[in-house]
Amino acid sequence: MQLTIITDLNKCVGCKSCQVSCKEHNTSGDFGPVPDHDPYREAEGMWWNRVIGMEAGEYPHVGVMYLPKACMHCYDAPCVPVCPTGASYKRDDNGVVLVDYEACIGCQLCMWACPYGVREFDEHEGVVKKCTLCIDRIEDESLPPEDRQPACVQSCPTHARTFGDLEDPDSAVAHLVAERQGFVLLPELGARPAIHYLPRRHAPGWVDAETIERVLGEGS
Amino acid sequence: MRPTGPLLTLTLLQGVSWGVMAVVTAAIFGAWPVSMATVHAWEWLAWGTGALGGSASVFHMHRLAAARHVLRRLRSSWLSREALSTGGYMAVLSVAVALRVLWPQARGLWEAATLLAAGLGAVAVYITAMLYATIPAMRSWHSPLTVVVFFAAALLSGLAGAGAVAAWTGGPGRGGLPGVEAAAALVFGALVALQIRAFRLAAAGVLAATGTGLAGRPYRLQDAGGSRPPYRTQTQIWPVLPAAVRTSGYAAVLVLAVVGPCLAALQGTAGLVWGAGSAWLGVALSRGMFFADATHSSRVWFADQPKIPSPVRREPGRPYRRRTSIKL
Ligand code: SF4
Ligand code: SF4
Ligand code: SF4
Repeated sequence: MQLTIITDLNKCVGCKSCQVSCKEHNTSGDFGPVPDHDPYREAEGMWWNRVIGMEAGEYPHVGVMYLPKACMHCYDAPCVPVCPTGASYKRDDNGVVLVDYEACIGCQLCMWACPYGVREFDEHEGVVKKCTLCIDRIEDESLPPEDRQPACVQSCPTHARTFGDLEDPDSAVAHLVAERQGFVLLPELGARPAIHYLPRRHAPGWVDAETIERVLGEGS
Repeated sequence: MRPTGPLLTLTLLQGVSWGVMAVVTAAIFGAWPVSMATVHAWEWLAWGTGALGGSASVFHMHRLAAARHVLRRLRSSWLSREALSTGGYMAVLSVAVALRVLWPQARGLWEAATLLAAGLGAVAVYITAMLYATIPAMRSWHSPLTVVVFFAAALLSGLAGAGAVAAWTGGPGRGGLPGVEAAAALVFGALVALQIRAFRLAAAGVLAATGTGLAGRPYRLQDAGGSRPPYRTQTQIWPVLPAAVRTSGYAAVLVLAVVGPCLAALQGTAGLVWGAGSAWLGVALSRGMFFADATHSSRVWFADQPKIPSPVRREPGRPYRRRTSIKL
């Protein structure tokens, strides 16, 4: 089993709901509180999920894209073997990469080794923290089944994010990756991320007022 | 990558310590007509710098409570290996120093312990360099050049330290050292020049196309998701150095680490002390640049992709000319 989240870049509108709900859940959640002592004033504090906004091309051929980026729960996670204490580890049963805060010495070598810049250093506790794939939610049997999914997935208003087992060929995430050419970030660095993205499809061309009137007319 | 005091101190002083031990080894094998007083002073210098460097590494750990676990991943972690090799080097070096102080007549034993310490020191420098060179995400460091530069820096700073001590202790131990130090400085300078080029290529190799799936270029970052310099919680990244800072930084490295020791060598033994100061400053600054100018793969989400003109496109009215350098 390899749990993952698939994000459809066509649906992501950059609202940052996942970024904020991740922080909200992990500030009050069970696994490891995000240690922002002054979260409303320190916007540059710790975020386990950051929505990157970028634009490409030159006017008028410009594209804008939003990219939610958290731990990729890599198959060959480079953050794991470099860790001297064994604090960083990948679970055999579900493929989630976690940090054992009790064993972490805060050397930050894993932060250098992670190609994706998704590990965050907690200055107050002296340890490194990151996305846990909401392990405390997905394994909490006291929650109703529909709530046993990551906070960022559940809060996405456009349903851009889908959670599931990438190694189950019948799962929704496996279907999405297979049918929609799911891709991973920085594949050349060899970490083999489990988290995939669905590429943006060709944007619809120019829609003129006449077409809008016609479509609205068809609907009425 | 954020340069931090403990990392700079550890890597620099470990290098000085082993570099001095390399000079001691050469002296034991008769490379220089050297007094035992000078050799012993060298060994103290190696011990002192090694102990200071090792102590500094403790401050790089932010949670000492877990330090007992640090050797758990010897099979895969260069940091576990670094802790073991640096500790082993200092232990054997301490035995060598203690033998000479407490049992001066056992010269053979002292020599054996000293040579063993020098060998372990080389292993420790290699392991420390490999820690940096084996991280694919650190695009600038992921190269055998990193290991070579670490050894060259260690030799230059060790020779400089040994030269300064020899000038201070007097005696016949000074012969030949200024020339060797100048040669080491020239080699170091050539390697720094190669490293500057490797760092620029690494910066140019961080591509938005694979980092985002956006093929169109150039791209601009609108929002880094709340990340802001100096990236307090994301220490793998560091603001891109302005071109003027980078150029003057590397120029200062070359002046201090190469020109200084070479000019000092022209003065013979009279220049050993200031030549050493110049070399040490230059090597220290070069290590600062090693961290501050390094490109991590995650920079693709922290800064705009640099605009790089086509190296092979013919400019209007100009003959075809293949560009051989990359300007960022
Ligand atoms: S994304 Fe980074 S932190 Fe997460 S598993 Fe991969 S290497 Fe480790
Ligand atoms: S910071 Fe903690 S988790 Fe990361 S490599 Fe060091 S000990 Fe391991
Ligand atoms: S899975 Fe949980 S911890 Fe990871 S980014 Fe989503 S909300 Fe945050």
